[in-house]
Amino acid sequence: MTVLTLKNVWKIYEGNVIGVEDLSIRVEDGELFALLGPSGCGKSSTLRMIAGLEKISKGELWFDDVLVNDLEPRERNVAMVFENYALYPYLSVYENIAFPLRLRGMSQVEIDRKVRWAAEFLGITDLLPMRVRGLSGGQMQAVGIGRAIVRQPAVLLMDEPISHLEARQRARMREELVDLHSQLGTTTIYVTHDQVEAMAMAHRIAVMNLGKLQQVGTPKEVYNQPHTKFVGGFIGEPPMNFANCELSSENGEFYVVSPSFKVKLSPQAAAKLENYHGDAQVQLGIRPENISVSMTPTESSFAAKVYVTEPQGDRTLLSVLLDSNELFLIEVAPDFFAPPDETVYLKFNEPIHLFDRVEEVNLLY
Amino acid sequence: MSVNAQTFAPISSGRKAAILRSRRLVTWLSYLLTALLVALFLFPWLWVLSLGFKTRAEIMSPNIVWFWTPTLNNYIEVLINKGYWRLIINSLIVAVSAVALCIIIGVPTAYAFSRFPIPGKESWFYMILTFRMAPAVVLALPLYVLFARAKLLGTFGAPILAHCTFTLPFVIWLMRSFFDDIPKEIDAAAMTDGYSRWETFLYAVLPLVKSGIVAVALFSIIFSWNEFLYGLILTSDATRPVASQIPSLIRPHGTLWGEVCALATTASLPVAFLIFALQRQLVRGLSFGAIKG
Repeated sequence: MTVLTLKNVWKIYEGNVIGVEDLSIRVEDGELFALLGPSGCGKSSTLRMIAGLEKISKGELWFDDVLVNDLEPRERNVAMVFENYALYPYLSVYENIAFPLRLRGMSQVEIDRKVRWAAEFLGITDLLPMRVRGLSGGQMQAVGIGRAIVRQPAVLLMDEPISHLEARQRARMREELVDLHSQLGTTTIYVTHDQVEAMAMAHRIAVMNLGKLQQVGTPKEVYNQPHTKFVGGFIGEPPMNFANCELSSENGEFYVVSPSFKVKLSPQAAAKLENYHGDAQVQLGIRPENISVSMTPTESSFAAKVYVTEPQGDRTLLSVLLDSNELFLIEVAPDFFAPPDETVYLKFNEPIHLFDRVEEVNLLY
Repeated sequence: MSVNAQTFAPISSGRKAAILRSRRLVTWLSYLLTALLVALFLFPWLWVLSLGFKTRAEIMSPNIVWFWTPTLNNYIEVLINKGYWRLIINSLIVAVSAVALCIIIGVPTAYAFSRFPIPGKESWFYMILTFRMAPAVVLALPLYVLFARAKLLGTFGAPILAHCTFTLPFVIWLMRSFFDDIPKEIDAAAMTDGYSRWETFLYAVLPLVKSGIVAVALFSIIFSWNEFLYGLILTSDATRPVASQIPSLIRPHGTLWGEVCALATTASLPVAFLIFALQRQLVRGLSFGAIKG
């Protein structure tokens, strides 16, 4: 069991291209930790550095109290599961799973016992004698996972393991992976670009963008208290709405003002802003479920024009155009309907997020 | 989309016969074309084969002699009396050594090109390819001087190294595309599973490009076997490969066509046999990209 610590880790590629910038993370023993971000955010580079497949340009990587920077992949006792499975096509399922054990010079009896254990664990005992070529994607990934867990690695690394599977199978594999992790208790790092996967599976999530760590936190934390505009916009489906506006204070009260609306901030939010000396130009962020819609004006509501109504069965997504020409997406009751160009009245509910327009950091957390 | 009722109407027997006829016609035409192509390629070779079994008078006759009693005299004269059978061995030594050398150097180089971040990689790669494009004559003179200085002239080393100038780029170029087709994750898996970088290359990746190596080696052997210029100018009588010795049968009093053809026939047999024996590997190697994964 292993605690994994990255201290100020950098990955600088040829031509001074920065892949990962000053990354510090501590992954606790037995944790299922997700690295989340769009492609090119540095999550895969980070994973490959942890595996030892790429050199760490600067910084330190610790497995418990061992500095592993200069250890080869095979000396780190990490196992990896790949998006494209990366099975050895010329070996049978059995031999694929047995492969890492054979390299460790284990006895045939021991190998057989472990391979059968892993296969049974994953429910693929029937597949053992088969060649890997004919297997389905889900079966291949099960073999890939079998090969990874069979030697009980210190750290299990998963690189988009279920991205290649079709949607229904992906949902089932998500559950199976969570179940597998809870039974094995191996420290696991899970790389994905899919926020749904990260939210559903991980104990904690590190959100990355453009090589930089944006935020580390539990799924709840990154959802409810996004530290940056990027995190706010990346996590959640449908995504957070943003509007340019200006901060103003009148009689000790804080207001966010835009051409379309003027919203009074809660006392808690106002307290956070007391010490804010930055630009008054900010961005307001609000999630689709935190806006209420009515057909008639109410207190502190403002008008907007219906753009499209999209019924989804369990809910309806309403997109509206504000006076400032910004498009907002709102979650409303499933039976809600309003024709295009109809005027509706919106009211923001807490939590409201305010982001610095230049630094894009959340001013309220 | 409208559905034409005729689409589902049963086909009349007359129409059926017409379709069958035209299908048969296409089949016959394709046979005919194939036969023509085969004849086109086979004719010169058969011609050479037949001349090898004719006497000088039959060869030189102004009318083509269609029927004759085959003679083995040309073969006996050129292979045994002139002792040219040794040249086949020379060719074998040169071709096999050159190709072995190129595979041993070229395959790891190709792997490095495929996997490692080498500064200026693509420029290096195209530079190597350019060597392959240079005409042999361009290098002949410099190589002659170089080998003379190194006291390699007249040894097997000279043609072997000279053949590497065109075989090595070929090996690197083709093998790189084979390696590029193997997902890099295979390497990553093997390395985390317990192999060192070298072991990963040798035991995890090489088995996947086996048929590619066979195909590349076979082509290289053919190039080397058929090479003429370097074999002629960089060797002595004792080390000359067979292809380069054929001009010695052009004599002041006329060309010994019978012996030329006998020698040419003998010289092409080993390669023909090799291709025949490795046919399946060859096809698999060449269609590699289509079956990756």
